[in-house]
Amino acid sequence: MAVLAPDPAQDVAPAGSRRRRRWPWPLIAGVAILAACAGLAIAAPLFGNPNHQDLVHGLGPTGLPAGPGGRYPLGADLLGRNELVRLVYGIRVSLTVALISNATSIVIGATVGLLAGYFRGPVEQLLMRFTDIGLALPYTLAGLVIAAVMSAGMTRVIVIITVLFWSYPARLVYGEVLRLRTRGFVEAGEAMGAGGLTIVRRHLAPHVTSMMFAYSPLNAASAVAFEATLSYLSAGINPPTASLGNMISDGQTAISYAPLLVIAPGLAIMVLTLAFLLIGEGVKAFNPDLRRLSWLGR
Amino acid sequence: MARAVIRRLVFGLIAVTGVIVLAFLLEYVVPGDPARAIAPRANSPAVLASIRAQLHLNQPLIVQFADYFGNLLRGNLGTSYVQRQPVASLIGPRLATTGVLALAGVIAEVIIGGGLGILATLFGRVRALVSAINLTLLAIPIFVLGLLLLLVLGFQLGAAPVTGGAGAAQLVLPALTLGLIGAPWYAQIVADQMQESLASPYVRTAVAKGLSDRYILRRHVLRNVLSPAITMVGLDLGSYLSGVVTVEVVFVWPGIGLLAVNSLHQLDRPVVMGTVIVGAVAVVFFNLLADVVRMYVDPRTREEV
Amino acid sequence: MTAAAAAPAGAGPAATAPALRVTGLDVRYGPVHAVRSASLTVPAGQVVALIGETGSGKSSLALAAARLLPSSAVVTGQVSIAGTEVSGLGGPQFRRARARLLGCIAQDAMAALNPVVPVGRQVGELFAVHAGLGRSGAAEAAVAALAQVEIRNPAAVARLYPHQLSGGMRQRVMIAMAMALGPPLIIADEPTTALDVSTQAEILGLIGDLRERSNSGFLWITHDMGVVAELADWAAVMYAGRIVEQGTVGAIFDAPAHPYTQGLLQTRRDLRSGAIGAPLFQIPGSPPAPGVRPAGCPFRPRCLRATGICEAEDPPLTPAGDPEHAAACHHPGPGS
Repeated sequence: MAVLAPDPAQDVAPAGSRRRRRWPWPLIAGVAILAACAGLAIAAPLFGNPNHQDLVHGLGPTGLPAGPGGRYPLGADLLGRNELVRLVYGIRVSLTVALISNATSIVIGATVGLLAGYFRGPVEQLLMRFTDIGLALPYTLAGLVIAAVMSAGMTRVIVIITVLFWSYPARLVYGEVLRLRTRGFVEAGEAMGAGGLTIVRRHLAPHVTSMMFAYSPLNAASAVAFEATLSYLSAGINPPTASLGNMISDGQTAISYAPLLVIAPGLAIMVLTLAFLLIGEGVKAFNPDLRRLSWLGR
Repeated sequence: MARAVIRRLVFGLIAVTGVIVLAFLLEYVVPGDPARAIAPRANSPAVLASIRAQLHLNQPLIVQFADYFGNLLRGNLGTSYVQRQPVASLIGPRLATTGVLALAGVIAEVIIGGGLGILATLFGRVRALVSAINLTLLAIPIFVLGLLLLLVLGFQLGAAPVTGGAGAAQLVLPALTLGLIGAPWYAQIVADQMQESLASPYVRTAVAKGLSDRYILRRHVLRNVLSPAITMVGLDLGSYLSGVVTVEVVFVWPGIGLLAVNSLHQLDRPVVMGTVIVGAVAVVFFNLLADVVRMYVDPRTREEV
Repeated sequence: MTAAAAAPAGAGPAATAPALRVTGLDVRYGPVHAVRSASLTVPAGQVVALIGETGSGKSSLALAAARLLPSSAVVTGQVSIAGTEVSGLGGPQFRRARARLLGCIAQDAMAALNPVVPVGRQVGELFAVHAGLGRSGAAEAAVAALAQVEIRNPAAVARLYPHQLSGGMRQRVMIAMAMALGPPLIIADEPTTALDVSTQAEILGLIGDLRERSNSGFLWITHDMGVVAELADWAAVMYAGRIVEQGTVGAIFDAPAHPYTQGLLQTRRDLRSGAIGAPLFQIPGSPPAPGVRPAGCPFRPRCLRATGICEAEDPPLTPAGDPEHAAACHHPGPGS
């Protein structure tokens, strides 16, 4: 069977991995940071109860939240809750949302792109029109609109992110499938009588999968940032559940005298995003075709 | 060139119509009874019924949509539930306010980003630093950056006002935030395009013609860099407008974005729909504008299908 | 033509300075020695063809003379254009002198012209920057320059962009740019290679006309012996970075002395003889990789006349026949 068509599995093996024994430093740094955050997230319950309000010790005699130190390494927030504990729980939430919505948006997007690229014709037109609309939407506004029809919580955020993010991988996969078609796999397979699904599975899927693996760190980075933005705008996860975004919106009014309430979750978001971005850069080293992807993660 | 413009216009109109239909349909998914939203304290079912009749809420969907669309074409976007004013009068004055911020933000991102890209291309030593700056800016969510700038430049250094308003002084921080967030993208495009141009045969021709380096950069290279940068502005529009909305909330800039967010929280449906429609029209219009400008700047794109 | 020879026979000491005189030029790209100690003269107003295959160093030599090599290239030797010693000039000085002394015609006109600027403006800027003309003056001069290269309707063409012109028109624009300020030397890097045969013929015809009217000397790089025969007064053959034969075109074609030149001409003869089915002559072997330079004559591995001395010593250019004809060969003369 492999006599006529070139074996795509050989194409997929990244050219760099055999020659380059040295792992790229962004990948190592990114994975290390991510692992540390994951560790914190998993260990979150050990830190304490994020919703426990201690109005006596948390808030001083003037009613202002306690500063950093002692039992409150990062201080207390305006309701007397321990900022550090909430931070760790917030990281847990961000990671969970990022990983789940990353998976769902990529799976849906890649499927759409594959179907559109393989079947062409009216299916392609329809799917790509939807994709175009998805790409053109101002995603914050659209997210807010969707948020208005769902009740607050993690499910809402994951749904919003999935709905607004799937069109990017769809477009990428579509383009890749079209490109692969010009290399003759598809025609050769069809000439040999292989059915649609077989061709998709054996010839297109490996390329698309490797491309999506390279794209997912960037997608996850965007998901972290978008969840934070949504929660900040009260369109994602609302208090009392701790999310890095809503911690910032809670702490915003106290920014002049308790800046840590904003800086700490802000830094946490940055660190998480950076970790994913670094992993994304590192993964590109294995597949130089994807150099262009570095700036498409928006 | 005219044909390409008309094609885009047509697609744009189709997109706007699609958005209008979607926004209208969303009505029926949003929980809550419009009649109750208008008169929250009304108790008698008769009052609520009469309100519903007034709003034609009992008519079939198609009729309601035709109604709505007809009104739209006449410039009537409905009436706000909460503020009891025509939506159009709420949105109208804010158009310019948001417009000013958006324009300032674009200028900022092109200048900051372009500047970083040019610096990185021309001065090798700065390249690593510029990369680090870019990576940081990419990793920071827009509202975090905005708050940080507010904290440092506003509160700690007192260099910018910290209270709301729409004056020139208040424009600085939000525009700067937008500019910094968008900068890495422009930096990358400008750097890529400059490198390509500098290595190209036509720059060699220009050198052979005895033109000075500065002249070549200014008159030859920069023109070639403009085209992809403008394309980026057009492509960028959707996410850029998202950024504008968020920045308006962070800095309490009284524009359409802030209006939309507040109305959403108050479930003031007509206002939300109005802003979404206005937003869609704006995206289409500016996309078209960006395309036209690009065709002017890069003659190679004029004949494209 | 050789380093030792004086100006062409018959000219007195008050002769016009040669358009180009290159002495002992060496070009290195890192470890690769692309041009070895080459010396070349282009007499005023005459056409010198620089012949060689890819990798022979012909482009490097020409670009080095024009100072258009990337900064990673190391160039030593002396270059003088129209009597002005330019190899010693600093960057800004050379730049100022350059447009008035030297015009360049590139091989790929599409890539060599700025795609987003109308061609008229690209020609005009030479006048604006170097001849101090204002915007309208430069524009007029540009239109006149386009008319000189036999472009019909030059005013309309001046407003067009490079991608709107045909290949031949673009090449004419390049020629107009090169000749705009009437420089004494024009370096042309295979300008007709990328054109189809009929356009090539037109361009060559144009160059022929322009030669009559101008005093510019040409250094014409090519690998096409037909172009050499039609256009050039003198020819220099390069192989593996060295000039291995030089002389008048008549001498080279009638009595080639170096076996490589003979091989080139034989190939051409076979192509044109029209004997269908007869095998074409091919110089056996292939040129050395750039930078790889064994001792002795670089052509030795492919030469049917090679002897012991060829392996030991790199042959210097020695006269072969008339005074301006020289070949770098231990056994020059008619082939075996």
